[in-house]
Amino acid sequence: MKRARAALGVVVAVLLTGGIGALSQVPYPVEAAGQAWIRLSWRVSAPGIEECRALTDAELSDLPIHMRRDTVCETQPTVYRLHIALDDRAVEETLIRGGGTRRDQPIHVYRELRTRAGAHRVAIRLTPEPIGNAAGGIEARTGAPSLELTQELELADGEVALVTRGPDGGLEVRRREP
Amino acid sequence: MRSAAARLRSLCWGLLARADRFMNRLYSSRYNPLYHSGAIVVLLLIVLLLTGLYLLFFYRIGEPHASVARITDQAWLGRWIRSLHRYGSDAAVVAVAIHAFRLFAQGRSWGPRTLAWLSGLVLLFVLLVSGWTGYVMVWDVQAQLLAVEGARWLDVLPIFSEPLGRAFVGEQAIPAAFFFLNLFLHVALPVGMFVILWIHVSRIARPGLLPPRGLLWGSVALLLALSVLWPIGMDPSADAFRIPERAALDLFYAFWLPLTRHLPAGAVWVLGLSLTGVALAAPLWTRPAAAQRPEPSAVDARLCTGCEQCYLDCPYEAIAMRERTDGREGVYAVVDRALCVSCGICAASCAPMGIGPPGMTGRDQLERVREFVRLVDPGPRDVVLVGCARGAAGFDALAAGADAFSPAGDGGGAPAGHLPGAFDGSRVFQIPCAGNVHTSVIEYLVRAGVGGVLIVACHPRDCWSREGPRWLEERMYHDREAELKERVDRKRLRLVHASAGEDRELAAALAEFRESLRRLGSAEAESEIDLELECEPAELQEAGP
Ligand code: HEM
Ligand code: SF4
Ligand code: SF4
Repeated sequence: MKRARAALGVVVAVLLTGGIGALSQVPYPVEAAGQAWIRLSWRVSAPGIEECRALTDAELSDLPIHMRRDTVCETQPTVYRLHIALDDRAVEETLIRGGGTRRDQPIHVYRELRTRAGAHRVAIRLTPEPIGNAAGGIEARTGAPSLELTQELELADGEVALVTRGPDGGLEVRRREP
Repeated sequence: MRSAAARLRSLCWGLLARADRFMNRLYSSRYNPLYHSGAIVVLLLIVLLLTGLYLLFFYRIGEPHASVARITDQAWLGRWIRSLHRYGSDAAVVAVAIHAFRLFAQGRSWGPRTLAWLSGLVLLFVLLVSGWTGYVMVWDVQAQLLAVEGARWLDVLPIFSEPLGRAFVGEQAIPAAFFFLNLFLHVALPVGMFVILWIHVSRIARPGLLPPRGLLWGSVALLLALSVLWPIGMDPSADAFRIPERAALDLFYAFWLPLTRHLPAGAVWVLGLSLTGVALAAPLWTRPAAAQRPEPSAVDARLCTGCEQCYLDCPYEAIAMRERTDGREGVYAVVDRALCVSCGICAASCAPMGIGPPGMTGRDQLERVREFVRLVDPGPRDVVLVGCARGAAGFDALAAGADAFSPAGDGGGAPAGHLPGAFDGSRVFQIPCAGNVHTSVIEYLVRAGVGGVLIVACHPRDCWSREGPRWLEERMYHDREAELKERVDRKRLRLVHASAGEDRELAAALAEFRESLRRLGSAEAESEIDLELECEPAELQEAGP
């Protein structure tokens, strides 16, 4: 009886310890096979545009004397429009504002397009929205770039392709060398 | 809400009692790992510290995956030290879970134990975060999943100017600062755990910080054998340009990952914070209703001789000795009500019976035992059980959740005037903890002519008040104050350890005791039992100190 109990004690201890070993490395299927992802990740600055204009006589007379000035200037933050199409189908169309309280901090694009492995056509456009009477083109006035990429991709099973900004500042696709 | 909590606790206690009994039968109560869960965690933390030092020597933040692979390739040392480090941390999670479950099931999560409960939760949190950083260090597929998931959670908080997740997409090499910070946390957090552990046990006298030697070496040997026979391998390196298809997940640290990956980060925060809130609030929702909460201990300074025994015995360091101010020489005992858990152990330390929670002092017990003998009128061949309400003699204790004990009755845990309950035909004089029973009660029963007195305590390491059975045994057999007097016939006494759920073990011990009493013949009752109380309040000056 005592011996049987001791043997059972050993068996239970071994099973519990083995249980720790098993639960410590459980094969977990993270993602199904046959997929391919396109990741978008980059950052662009979002400098605002300072717009100045003369005050009208009516506006001037509303202000206390010590605050009267000929012109007032306001900084308008840059807003970008992001357009993403995969295989000629629009998957996203959003406006992105800069960070920070004054909305003049850089914006970050960080997206994941999950699709099947195979041939795809991706079209991405990130363009600053026109602000006020910004004549002469917003890019020229603020340095806010317009980014665009349209590319055919043959994606392998399990591959992640990264769309990011290259050394010249434009968008490019980066892939693991096979 | 409170009754739902009490039901849940009762259910947990039932489970725990069954598991304890199973383990006691396999390994004996001395080596039952469930009784030593907290101490096993401390042991494992030490194992982790030692194995971690070795790994630290070979780990390189500049090539995390490759350096861990090199350690794993050291067939003689590195491989099993890494595995021991890994399995040790896994076992630590299991042991912490058992430790917390045990204290919850036993209702040791409120009142003066609140500090231990809350610091315990901090320890658990730090342990899990340390494990997280440990897995990120390896920078394999699991590490990538953990890092990306962590970044996803943090990115919904408005604290970072740039999404952290972008660090892991392969746009640029992951900054060395990331691996440095991770390594720093992985070293600093566990070291911090020892500081928190110090706070955790700060309100406890003589904390059991290590398991008994057999269990200590047994646990280490089992984990070592596992490490040698089933060493941890290497998963492929993290790769931002590959979809992770399969990972070897450590469910002790990443059990939540398969669930949270599919939830929006905001929902993960809501879920995590809710669970944390419920656990942090346990000291509120697990404590009994105000009317059922036992009063802390109080000292009758007129009786206190300043012997310091209660001060030495209190398992919660709730007693201090102060200089007297009443004109008498010496010191007297003072109870800090905020630290006292009302276990009643001090009541049994005190020969003059001058201390104890209301209704639980030696004098209260004597009054109850006299009433008990009058009601039960035990014969010279009868056995009376003096049993802890939370142990095997606390009949229906499991069902009642053990908070139900009230010393106000006749001593059997029954309403005053009712016959106390019985175990296998023997009447039971219930007490809230074996360490609370004053030796005068035992003496009274023997001298009243009871055939035999079977004292039923929980297993020493299972005591809800930590040290009750240990002090009881010393008082009965090793002259610890307030000792059982020599004149008490030890042949009519027996001390058994039987925790809740161990009814069969108690029944066997009772049968064996009855048999030995049968050979002894009938007991004789004394007509007048003078219990020489060391002093009576009337003899002392009326004024306190
Ligand atoms: C790394 C994690 C932990 C370690 C190493 C640890 C260790 C210990 C030790 C050694 C004791 C003293 C036991 C004794 O001598 O009676 C103790 C007591 C205690 N622990 Fe923990 N513990 C940990 C986590 C926790 C957790 C997660 C909880 C609950 C949420 C908890 C709640 C308690 C309580 C309430 C006590 C006091 C028991 C009493 O006063 O009766 N501990 N712990
Ligand atoms: S055991 Fe009793 S007599 Fe001794 S110090 Fe405590 S209260 Fe005083
Ligand atoms: S009742 Fe328990 S915790 Fe309170 S003073 Fe007495 S021994 Fe200490």
